[in-house]
Amino acid sequence: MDKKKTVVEDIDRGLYDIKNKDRYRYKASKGLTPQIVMDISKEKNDPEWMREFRLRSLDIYNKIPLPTWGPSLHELDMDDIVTYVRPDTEMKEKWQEVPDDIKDTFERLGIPQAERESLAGVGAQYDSEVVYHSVKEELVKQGVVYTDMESALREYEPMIKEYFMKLVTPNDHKFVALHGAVWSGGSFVYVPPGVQVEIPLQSYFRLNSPGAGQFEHTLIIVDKGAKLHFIEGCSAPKYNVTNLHAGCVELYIKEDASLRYSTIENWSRNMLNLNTKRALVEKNGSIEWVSGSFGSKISMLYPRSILKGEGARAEFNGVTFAAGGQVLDTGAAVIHAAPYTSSNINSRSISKGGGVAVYRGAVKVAANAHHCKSLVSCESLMLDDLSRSDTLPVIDIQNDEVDIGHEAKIGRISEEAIFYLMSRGISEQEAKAMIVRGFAEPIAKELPLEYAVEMNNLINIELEGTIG
Amino acid sequence: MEKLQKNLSSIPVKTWNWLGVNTAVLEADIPAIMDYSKQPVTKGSEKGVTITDIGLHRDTIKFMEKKMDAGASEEMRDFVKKNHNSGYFIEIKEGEKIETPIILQYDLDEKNPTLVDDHFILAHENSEATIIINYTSSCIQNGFHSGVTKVFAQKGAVVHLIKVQMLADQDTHVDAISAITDEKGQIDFTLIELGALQTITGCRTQLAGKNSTGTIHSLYFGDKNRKIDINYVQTHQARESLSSIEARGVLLDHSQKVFKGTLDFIKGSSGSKGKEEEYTVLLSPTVRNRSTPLMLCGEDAVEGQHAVSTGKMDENKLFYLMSRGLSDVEAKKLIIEADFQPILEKIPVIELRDAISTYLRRRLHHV
Repeated sequence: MDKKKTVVEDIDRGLYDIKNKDRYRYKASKGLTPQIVMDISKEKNDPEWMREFRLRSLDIYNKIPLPTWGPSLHELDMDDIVTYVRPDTEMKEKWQEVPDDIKDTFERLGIPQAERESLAGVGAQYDSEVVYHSVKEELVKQGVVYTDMESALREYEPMIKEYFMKLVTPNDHKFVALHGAVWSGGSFVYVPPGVQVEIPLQSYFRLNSPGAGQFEHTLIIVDKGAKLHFIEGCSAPKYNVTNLHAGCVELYIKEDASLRYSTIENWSRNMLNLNTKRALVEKNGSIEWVSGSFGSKISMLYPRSILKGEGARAEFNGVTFAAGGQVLDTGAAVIHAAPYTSSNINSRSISKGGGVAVYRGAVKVAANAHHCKSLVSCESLMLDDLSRSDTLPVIDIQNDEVDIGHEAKIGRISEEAIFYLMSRGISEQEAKAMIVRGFAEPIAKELPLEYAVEMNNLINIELEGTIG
Repeated sequence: MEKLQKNLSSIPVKTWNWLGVNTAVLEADIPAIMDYSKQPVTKGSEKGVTITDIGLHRDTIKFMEKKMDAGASEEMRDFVKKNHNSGYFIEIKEGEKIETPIILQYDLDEKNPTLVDDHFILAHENSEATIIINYTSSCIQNGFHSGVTKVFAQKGAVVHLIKVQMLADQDTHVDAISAITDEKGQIDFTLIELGALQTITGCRTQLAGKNSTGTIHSLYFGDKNRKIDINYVQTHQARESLSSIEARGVLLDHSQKVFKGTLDFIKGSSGSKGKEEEYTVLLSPTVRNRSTPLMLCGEDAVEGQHAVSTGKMDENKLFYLMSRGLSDVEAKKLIIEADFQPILEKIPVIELRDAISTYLRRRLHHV
C-alpha cells in the first residue's frame, strides 16, 4: 500500500474569533511595576493583607528566572502586557442586565443556553473580572457558595485568607508569582460537608482586550464527603499582539470528597497560556481532571495532584491537539504523599501541520507512601512529518511497597487499521477520520455531552477532501 | 573541575529541575590522575585486528568525530583527552569476522588507583567483532575511573561492545560511550553496572545509516549507599533504523538510581522503530528509584514505544520457591539471578560470566 500522508484540517475558529470593541471601565498601564500592582489593588479595593501579598509576589517574580526547560518564552515582554482590564459593567446576577456586546459574545459561545439546559451554576468572566454569576436556588439553600473571587474576598474573607495561594505559593515559579501580584477575577466555590452537587457548575473565561493578560484565580473547597463537577472553558479572539494567560487553580478536596474538574481550553493562537493548577486531596478523597488543550500559541500546563491523605485518588484524562504554529507543552504530575494512594494518568496528543505536542509528566512517591499504585499511559499521533511530538515523563519512587507502571506509544495512523476498516466497506477517508476521532474518544467520553460536542467541533475534521 | 562535576550526563531535553534528572552531579572530588602501569589488553592479537595506542590516530579520529555526537559533556571530553592514562585504537579490518572476543581488563589497585581511558573502535565494512572492557578494583578507598569510548560501525559492520563495571565499594565511575553506524551497521551494547559508590554512565548511538541497528542491554545493581545515574540515547537519523533499550535492575538498602533512556526520531528517519523497557525490582523501603523514559519524535512514519515497571519482587514466584524449601534470601537471590540471566548470557566468555555471578551472589548475601 502506498504511504499517503494524512492531512487534517485546522480547527475552525470562526466562532471564537469574533472581536468586540475594547471597552473598559478601568485599564492598568502596560507593564509591571509596584505602582501598577498598587493601582490594581486599589481599584479592586483589596484588604491590606492582599495588597501586601501582591507586592511580595511581585518581589518574588522579579527574583525568579524564566524556566530553563520547556518552550521558549522569548516573545513574552511584560512591558507590553496590560495586567488588568475591568470591563465596563458591574457583576450581574440577571443575564438580561449584562451589556449587549458582552452578552452576545457569551451567547454565541452557548454559555447561557448551557446553563438553562444542564448546569447548576454559571460564571462568566470578561477580561479581568466576572460579569455574570448565578447559581441554582436549591444549592444556595444547601449552603453551596459559588461566586466571583472579588465578592468572595469581601464576603468570605477568613476562608479566602486561609486557603488563597497556600497550595500554589508565589515561590513555585515565575508565572505564579506574577499571578500573585496581579490576579483578578475567577471563581470561588465552597461545597459544605456531605452535599452532592449532581449537575456541574461552569465558569467561562473570555479575554477580549488585545495585549492584555488574564490572571483569574479559581479556588474550590469541597468539604468532607461532598461532591462536585466543575467545568471551565476559555477562549479569546486572535490579535496580532501577544496575550498572556497566567491563571491559577487551587482545589482542596477534603476527606471522602470528590471533585471532577473539566477544562476545554481554546485560547486564540496569539495567547501564551502559562496556567497553574493544583489539587490537594485528603483521606479517601478523589480528584479527576479532564483536560482538552486545543488553543494558544504556547501552553505550559501540568495539573498537579497532591495525594495527602491515605487512600486518596487522582485521575487525569487529557487530550492535546497541536496544529501549525502551536507548542502545547502539557501533562500532569502526581505526588503520592500518603499510603494506599492511587493515580491513573491517560494522555493523548495529536500533532499536525508543524504543531509541537509535548507530554511532560511526573509521578513522585514519597518514602511514607507505601502500597500506592500508579499507571501512566501516553499515546501520541503524528499526522505529518512537519510536526513534533515529545514524551517526557519522570517517575521518582522512594519506597519499595509500590506498583508503578508507565507506558507510551508514538506513531502514525496504522495502515492495518485503515485496511481493516476499508475491508468492512468504509472509505479510506472516513476510516482515517474515524481513527483520529477514536484516538481522542477516551477523553471525549469523560466530558458532559455538550462539551464532547464542542470538542468534536474543535477537532472538526473536514471529511470532504482534507484527509487522505 | 567544578563545571565538569556538575554537568555530567544531561538528558537531550530538559524537564522540571525539582525532579533532579536533568544532569548528574559527581559528588567525589576528582583526584590527581596518576599513571596506570598495568597492561590491560589480555586478548585480541588475532588476525584482522589491530590494537594500537590512541595517540597515534588523533587525525583519523578527528575526521570521524566530525560526524559524531559529542556523547559526553565538553568538559568531560577535554578532561579525558588531557588526562587519559590508557587508550586504544581498535581497528577491525574490512570483511573480517573476529571470533575471539577482544578483552581489555582494567584492575585498579593501591598502586594504580586512577584510570582515565580513551578508546576508539573502528569496524570497517562488513567486519564483526566483540570487545569486552572489564573494570575491577581492589582499592580500599577512592579508586577513580573516567573514560570515553567511541565506536564507528561502517557499512554492514557489527560491533558487540560489552562493558562490565565491578569496581570497589568506595570507587567512582564516570563513563561515556558514543557510537555511530553506517548503512546496515549494527552496534550492540551490553552494559553491566554493579560496583562503585557513584556511577555516572552514558551511551549515545547515532543510527546514521539506512537499515542500521542499535541495541542496549543493561543491568544494574544498587545496594548500600550506591548512586547510579544511567543515560542512554538512541538517535534515529536514517530511514528504517531499529533500536532497543532493555534495562533490568535491582535496588536495595539506601541505594539511589536515575535511569534516563531516550528514543529520538529525527525528521527523515521514516520507517524506523524503537523500543525501550525498564524493569526495576525494589527490595528495601529506603531506596530511591527514578526513571525518565523520553521519546522525541520529529517524524510521523515511525513506531516508538517505551514501558517502565517498578515494584516489589513477584510474590507468587517467591511463594513457590519458598514452598519448595528455599529460605527467603535464597529464593530472592534465585529470582534476581534468573532475571539477570538473559542479559548475562550475552557475554560470550564463560569465565567472566562466572566471575560476575560470583560477585553478584556475594553482594546479594543480605537481600
